[in-house]
Amino acid sequence: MLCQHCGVNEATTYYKQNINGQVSEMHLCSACAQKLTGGFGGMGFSPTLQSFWGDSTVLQPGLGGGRRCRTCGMTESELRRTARAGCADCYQNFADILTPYIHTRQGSTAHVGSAPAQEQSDPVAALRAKLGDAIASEQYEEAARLRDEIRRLEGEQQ
Amino acid sequence: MSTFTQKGGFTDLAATTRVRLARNVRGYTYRGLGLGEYKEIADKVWTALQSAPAIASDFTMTEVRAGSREAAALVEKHLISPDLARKGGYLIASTDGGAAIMVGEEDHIRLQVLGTGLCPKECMETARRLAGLLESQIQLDYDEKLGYLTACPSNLGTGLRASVMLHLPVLAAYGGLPQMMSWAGRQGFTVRGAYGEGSKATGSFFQLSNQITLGLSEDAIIDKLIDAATGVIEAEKKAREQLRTRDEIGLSDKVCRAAGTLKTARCIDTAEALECLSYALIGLQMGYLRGVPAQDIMAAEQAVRPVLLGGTAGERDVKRAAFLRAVSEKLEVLD
Ligand SMILES: [Zn+2]
Ligand SMILES: [Zn+2]
Repeated sequence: MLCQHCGVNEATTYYKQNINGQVSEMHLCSACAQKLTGGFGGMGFSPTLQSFWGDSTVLQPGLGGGRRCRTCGMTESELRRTARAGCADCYQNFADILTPYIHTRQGSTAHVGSAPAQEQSDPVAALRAKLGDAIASEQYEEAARLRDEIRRLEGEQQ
Repeated sequence: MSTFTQKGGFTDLAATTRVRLARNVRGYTYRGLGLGEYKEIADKVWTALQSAPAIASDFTMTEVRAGSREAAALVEKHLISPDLARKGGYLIASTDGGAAIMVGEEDHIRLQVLGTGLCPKECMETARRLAGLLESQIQLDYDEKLGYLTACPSNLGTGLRASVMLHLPVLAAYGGLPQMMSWAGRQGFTVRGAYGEGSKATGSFFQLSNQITLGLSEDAIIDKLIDAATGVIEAEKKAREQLRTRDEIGLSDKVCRAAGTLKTARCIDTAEALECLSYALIGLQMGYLRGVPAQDIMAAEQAVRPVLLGGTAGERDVKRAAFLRAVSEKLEVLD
């Protein structure tokens, strides 16, 4: 079978990913596997493969751990196994497990975009949204300008 | 009555667009909730909608009874997920089916807006308007850093899943899919067979949707989806032209025979119906056929599915054929 990424070399590596219960598979040659997993550094913006790594190596579903979320009763081992939060507080209580998982899976851990009206009074949040867009669309001058603006506002707030 | 169903372009290749926002209500956990709690949440949603009477008058609230036939039909219409049909919950939907708020999914609230053709921007705008209405009345789980909190970390941030259902028969038949999927993957999108595992007759429909929900704004996700969908549509069109160059007789033969079957069959099963409709769509786009809008054929794609037709298998095949003859009555073969 040929590599599904380059369509040229013979596939030597097989990947499987599970997104929201939808399982899909990929056959890759070693060069493409290297490129897709290594070439993106630690940024994790290769969703196809990173979600696979995310589920298996970041969450470590085999691990137990006796912690339990006091709000919803979610245990550490169940959280690792299901990759689901049981309530809003789980994101605090299991931050050490979920933050790296979110990072590999989403390539980011900082929200950009709309917020409920009651949260919108913060001008820094609005600027952060713009900064995210600027970086995503590779407008680095604009991004630098926004970053300075955010630093300035944050300095004023403190 | 207002229209919530949006309309977009590329109707000969893009069947539908769907924008979905996931939200959770503050004070409730994401697991172990019963129908009573879902009813409380549904009532909150209902009350929030009433603050805009002009909008509210278009919505109705129904209980989705776990495992019921009605629930299965709602799944076929893409109004609720299979998960909700199994567990039960509530559906608050606009009369035209264009906007729907599901209560009792993995997340408390899933708000979705549907459209025909490629119209992510229009769907997003309506979804934003409705979400704003809910948010003005209901306290939601929101974190400054992680955005809207969801049960699955893969929905965090915007909670936005935007998708386009594309008809890609030639890419699918001639092995172009893996390459297209990995291309889409590199843009942060996934491509899935539209009717999932276990159902063979997919009619070559594939759903393209964003995988990243955190760290990009809603507008950036929507823009990227439009770019990705356009890229895939171009790839399918190119594959069709290559096929035309390689084997014009073979291609036009299949298209014209399909048109004949649609116009004359007295009894037809789902698989053959989907195959013929698929060729009819190719024929319309490539100029072998005319006379019927592509979106009518797209709509027929949904309507011929067993759950929506009802009756026994034999009755369905006859009903389906009659329906297809009506849809394709004005379909003409061009010489
Ligand atoms: Zn390769
Ligand atoms: Zn919890």
